[in-house]
Amino acid sequence: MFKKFLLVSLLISFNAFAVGPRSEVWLQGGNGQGSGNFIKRFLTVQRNIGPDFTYTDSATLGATITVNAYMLAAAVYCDYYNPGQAHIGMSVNSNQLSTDIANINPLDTLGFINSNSSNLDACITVTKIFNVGDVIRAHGQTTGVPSGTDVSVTFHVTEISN
Amino acid sequence: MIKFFLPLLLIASTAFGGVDLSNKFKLGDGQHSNKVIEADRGAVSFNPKLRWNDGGAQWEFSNDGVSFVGIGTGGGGGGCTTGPRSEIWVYNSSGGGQGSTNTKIRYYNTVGRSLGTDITRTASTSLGDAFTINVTGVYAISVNDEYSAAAAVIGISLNSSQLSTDITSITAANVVGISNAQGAGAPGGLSVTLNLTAGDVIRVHGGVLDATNNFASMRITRVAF
Repeated sequence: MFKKFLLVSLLISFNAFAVGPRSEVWLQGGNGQGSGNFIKRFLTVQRNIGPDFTYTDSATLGATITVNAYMLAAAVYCDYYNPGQAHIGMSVNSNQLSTDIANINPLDTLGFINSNSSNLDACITVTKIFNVGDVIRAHGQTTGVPSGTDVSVTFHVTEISN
Repeated sequence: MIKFFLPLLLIASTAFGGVDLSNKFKLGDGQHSNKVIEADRGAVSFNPKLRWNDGGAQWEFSNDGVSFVGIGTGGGGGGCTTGPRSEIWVYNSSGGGQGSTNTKIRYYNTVGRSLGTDITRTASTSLGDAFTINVTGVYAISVNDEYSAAAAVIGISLNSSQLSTDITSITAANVVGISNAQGAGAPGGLSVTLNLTAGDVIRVHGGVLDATNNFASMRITRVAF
């Protein structure tokens, strides 16, 4: 019993060397935007693994992924617009949720890309260190832009290491 | 209560080499040899272990109880793994195409890099290339491609059986990601990082891509456990 107690204690102490799966939120399919902003919403949760992210969907505020632990993480957002071009971006901790991602405070911009033609998907990818409390959003251009709805629309954040 | 546990502590102290109740737990017989801490998982095929490798003078760990990896370097920690990580990079050099049987799966004719054993590439001109994950972990995948006649659909699928169907029309759960080349002859790309499980099969899964081009490439790298 005592040996097991010590062993468990030791294994707990080695928790810093955690093995997978790492926390991951994988959203798929577009579901419009928050009613009061340019923040994307999503249809399907393909994965929501681990405790280090909290995914919240709001009809008014859009989708948010909140970071619960200091970490290195990779994020990707893919979307498109019919019938034209669109800014497709990601923001962190932005309070300019009804502003084109291209015009918000640069400190809050994770990155954005332009889809060049109607119905053509474009993806923005970033890998960076996130802090506890960071809020990541799929941030668009204006009301209804981008407008993707199908399976090609993806918002996917994965923890790589702590 | 203390009187009850004290004899047990003394017995355990002898078995483990020494217990200082305030600050230190010691394992070993005082001799130069490997020291092992093992997680007993019962009637299963393997037990994970932590090991002091006396000959190698380093702490190591093993998830499968057989293959050990050093924990950091020098006098301290710094990570669970030592590089390089497993990685496969393939591309086309005036060749490649999509499978003759699996018509939406890309295959490549040149290997730029193949490191480690965590990923197995099965190359096939009929089935397209399949990248099988051998060790559960976090993997980063990047693809680039194009179609010279029109905008191309460029995608990554996971465990799909619909290998002659445009990725935009396969089962959604098998779609890791989709992007478009933004016009005829304009290459496009996609990068995704995600948890993958041993046995998972990743494929570069398109719509229509050029039969041969020099813009097609695929990298898959294990980035974490």
